[in-house]
Amino acid sequence: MLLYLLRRLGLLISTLLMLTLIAFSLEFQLLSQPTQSFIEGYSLFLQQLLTGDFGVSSVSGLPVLGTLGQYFPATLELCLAAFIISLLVGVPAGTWAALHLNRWQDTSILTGTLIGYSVPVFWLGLLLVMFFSLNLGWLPVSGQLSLLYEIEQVTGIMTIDTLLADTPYRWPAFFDALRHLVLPALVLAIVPTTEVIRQIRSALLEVLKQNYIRAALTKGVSENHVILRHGLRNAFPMAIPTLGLQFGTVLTSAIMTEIVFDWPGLGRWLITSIALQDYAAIKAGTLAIATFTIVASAAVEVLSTLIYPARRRAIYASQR
Amino acid sequence: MRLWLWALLPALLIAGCNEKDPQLAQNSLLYCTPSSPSSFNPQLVISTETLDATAHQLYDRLLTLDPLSQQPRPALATDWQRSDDGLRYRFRLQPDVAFHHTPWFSPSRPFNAQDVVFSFTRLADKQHPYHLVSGGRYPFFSAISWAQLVKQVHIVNEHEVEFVLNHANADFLHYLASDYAVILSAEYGAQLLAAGTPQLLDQQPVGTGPFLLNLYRPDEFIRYHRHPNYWQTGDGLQHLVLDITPKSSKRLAKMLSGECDAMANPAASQLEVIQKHPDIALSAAAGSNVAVLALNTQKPPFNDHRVRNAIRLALNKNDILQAVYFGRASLAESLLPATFWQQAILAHPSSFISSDINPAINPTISPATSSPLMPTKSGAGRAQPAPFTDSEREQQLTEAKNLLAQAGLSGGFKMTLLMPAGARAYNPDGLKTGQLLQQQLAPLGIKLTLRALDEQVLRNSLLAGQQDAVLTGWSADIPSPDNILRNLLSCRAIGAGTNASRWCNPAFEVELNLALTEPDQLRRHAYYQAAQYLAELDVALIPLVHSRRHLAYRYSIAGLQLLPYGGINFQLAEKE
Repeated sequence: MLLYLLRRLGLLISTLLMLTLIAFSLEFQLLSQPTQSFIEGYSLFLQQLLTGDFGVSSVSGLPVLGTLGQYFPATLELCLAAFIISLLVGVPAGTWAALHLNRWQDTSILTGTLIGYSVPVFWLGLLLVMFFSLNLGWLPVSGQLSLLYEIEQVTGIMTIDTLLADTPYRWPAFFDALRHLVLPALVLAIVPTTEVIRQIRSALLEVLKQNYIRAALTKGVSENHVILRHGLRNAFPMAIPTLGLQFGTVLTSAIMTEIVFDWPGLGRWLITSIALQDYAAIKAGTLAIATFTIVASAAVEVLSTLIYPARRRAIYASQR
Repeated sequence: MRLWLWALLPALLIAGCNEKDPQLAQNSLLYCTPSSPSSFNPQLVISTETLDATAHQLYDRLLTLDPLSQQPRPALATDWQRSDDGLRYRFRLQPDVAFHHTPWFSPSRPFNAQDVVFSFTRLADKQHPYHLVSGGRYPFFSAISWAQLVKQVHIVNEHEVEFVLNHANADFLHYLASDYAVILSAEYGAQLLAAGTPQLLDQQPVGTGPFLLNLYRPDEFIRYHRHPNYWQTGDGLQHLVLDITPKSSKRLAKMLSGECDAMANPAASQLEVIQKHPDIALSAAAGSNVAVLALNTQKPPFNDHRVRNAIRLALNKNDILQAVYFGRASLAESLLPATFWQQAILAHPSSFISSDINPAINPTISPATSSPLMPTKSGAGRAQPAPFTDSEREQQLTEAKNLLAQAGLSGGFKMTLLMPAGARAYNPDGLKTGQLLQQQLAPLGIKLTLRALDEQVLRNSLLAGQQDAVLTGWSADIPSPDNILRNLLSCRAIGAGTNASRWCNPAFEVELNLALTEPDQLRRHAYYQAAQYLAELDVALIPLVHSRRHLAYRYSIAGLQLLPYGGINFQLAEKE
């Protein structure tokens, strides 16, 4: 196990190094200082990154790292909410589809996933705003929290910060934060949900073919029990690594979602920085998003391996 | 079944908790504005958004403009005396006016004469330690030649201050009442200077205004709290939040969903939607601006008066009014909007009704158009002249063709028309206006090439003076004809890049200067009429439209003041 973790860590570090190398070569091409060689420049660049020196924003005049720390939790909150929604919707829907293989339920769910996968995020966002915010007036149009509430930023995750705040309107503020989260999280959840449905469906179909399932069913154990206890339990490990890769897709969609809903996160900050040609911010934002994607997918893989040792054996087997 | 219940639960919970904290909502106002302020000191800026955010929220002035008469009235100065020669103004100051108490400054004394001297000497005195701080440019004060006008500002005693002028100026009191003439704290200035951070004076503001700054997140929001020791009466709002939302469609959406209580600058195309909404009122500040077509009078063929006149005759302003402004503006018959003349007309109607000096003056203006906040359902604030009939238009075109033929240009010519790329207060869509002009001038054989330029690029090319023609305009900062006429047409304004037609007429300057030193209102107006007549006679500029500034707000809000010559004032705003 230790060997596996070390291997995974080595892979992670080398990927991150590659990333910094690409980032630096772009910067070197654009803003190279003739007195400095590439190697010197790169080592200085790495030193700066390791000490947390991401430069100073040319727009606000503040250190970029601080701003990054302010916006990153908002993006994280949005992505986590989307991920939770995709699991809450995707797992039952995928199971439902697998259980009704080739019947109308299965076909309609698969058609739904195809539509969900192809629908442009910004268009869907606008459509939902039109319907839920403007027509029905149920949910707010944009932002993370109504500006009425003065909530001190502790974690940057508004649903947590509102509860931590020492104000009489803690609960109204918390529900307001939840209401603000609903539409952007739903929009962001669309693509990963389709993926969860497809992965769970195919993994479950694979598991349901196994002899032990048939055996359990013939023993007279209830179908629900078999599916929950045996089917899903064994299907999850097959699906999780692929789902981990969804982090990248979610983050890319998050940028667009943040623009549509004025969500004060990393993506919106990045786009604004690009418009203002704030190079330090663009560099820091891009590196942060890429690093987060790589670390998150690696973490999911390690996690799934830790939970399901069978997978670990499979890895070793495949490496022989 | 149980699964569905679980799924429904969060939805019910969220929908059920739709209500905001009622006490908080009652005491707060959310104002959606298109952009961040470029500074927290109005002395340094000319943008309306910055004035909206700062001028009347954080600061007070010595004088303020009466919302109806537009004449200066006491504010931080309780009264004033003017010397007979018009060169000295002595102001008595309001006692016990507290400055903001903020985390970055604790005042030890109330407002006094030192603060007035500090605020105004910074503008002109090059030796003043703050003169060059934050760029050292004071656009409004340099446009009115403050440094040449004011010789000295000195303390008479703690509660009296005197301004000594180099020459008399009839608009002087209006300058002090403008949004730019804010009073800063001399004590705060000294503290920052000692700390070596003078630039914070313009970033972490301290004033005497009704609100103090609590938190500013660039491009996101500005949060103000009520100034607890504000010297004027009124228990208005406790919290004021400016929500920075650049897109007007997003601002409208927030307005409709209740996330904004008031919304700045709705687009012309949105006004109908707003008017149809039962909870939202729409107000319009009278048009104190003018959109113009400026032809470069120093460049052939536009240096020929006949060519300029031909172009003037060929234009159909009504089409522009309908297509660009959706009918919600006034056709500009002259450079000056009607509001400038109202008080004189109301006081002495008989002197103006004949209008023989300047046929452009319309004596049928309603006084209601100048009130600061008047919900309008009709949209039109003043009587619109009837559009031309087809035969009248034909006649004008024939006349224009004849003029071009006389100038030896019967075959037409090619020209380039410059315009600002974004929306301006006086013109929401320069490009569309340009396209209409393209069509309207085609019958004369004039081929227009359109070039939309960014503000800075456009200003630079106007300074270079190589342009053929420009779509530009001016929004008045004070209710004085001088402010528009001098900035658009004076010889000095050519160097400043605001006189886009590069027209320079000494006789015109004489009239303007006479008007500025003339204390009698009626005679001043006569000088301005004469000046305007000279400009019209020579087709120095072609006025197109006087636009109006709109504000959408919930009917439950009272006391908002949208000022025709500057920003918005929330001091008296409250929720019912």
